[in-house]
Amino acid sequence: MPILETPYFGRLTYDESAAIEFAIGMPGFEEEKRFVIVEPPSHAPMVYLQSMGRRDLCFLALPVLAVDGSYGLRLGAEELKALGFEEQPVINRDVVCLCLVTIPEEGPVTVNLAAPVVIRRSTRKAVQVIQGDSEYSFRHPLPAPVEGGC
Amino acid sequence: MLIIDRRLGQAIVIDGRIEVRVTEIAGNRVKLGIVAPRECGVVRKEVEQAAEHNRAAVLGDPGRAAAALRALGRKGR
Repeated sequence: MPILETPYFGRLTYDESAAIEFAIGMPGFEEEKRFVIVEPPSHAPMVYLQSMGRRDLCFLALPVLAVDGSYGLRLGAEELKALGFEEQPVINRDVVCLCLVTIPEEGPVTVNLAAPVVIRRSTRKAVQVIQGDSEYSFRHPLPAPVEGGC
Repeated sequence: MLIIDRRLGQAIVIDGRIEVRVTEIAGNRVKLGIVAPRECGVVRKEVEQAAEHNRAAVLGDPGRAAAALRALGRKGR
């Protein structure tokens, strides 16, 4: 199995099925297309998105449904095309939908519900879907502790 | 904020080199055509916001992330 050296996980051995590739790079990190999803069982439902190209680039994420059970995902035309969908995908059935967690120096931990990372399960292709005209916040406060998961 | 009234097909010019034209209006959506020098980055505001939040979400010091995880009631590394 492939191995990645990382500051967070040391020598990380991962399965290719945990690798994802962004069809469109995340804003701010357009060049970093390949990531590994690391799911330490003791951190569930939290997962890590570890860049394969930049060892120091790692994000913490939560399944959106663990934060908001009635989350409404809507992809734009370009995002649908990037993932190869002709109609809106269903979370869990078609795609994994993760929201990035921000841990500020001070203040509450927040999750980005306005721009979730959406991964097509069958192809492991990903896009960050920017729900610009939605009600969702880039800084949704995370109630602690997080329980359950999806 | 400067507010300028424009009709379909009309434009504004910024700094003598960036043209923004209203090319279509449908309901509450407006299409803008932009002509700008190559060095001028043009992105939707929410893409810029997403970039800013993505940069803020990068896990920094592993110890700090672990402390936050514990605060969230999860066992940290």
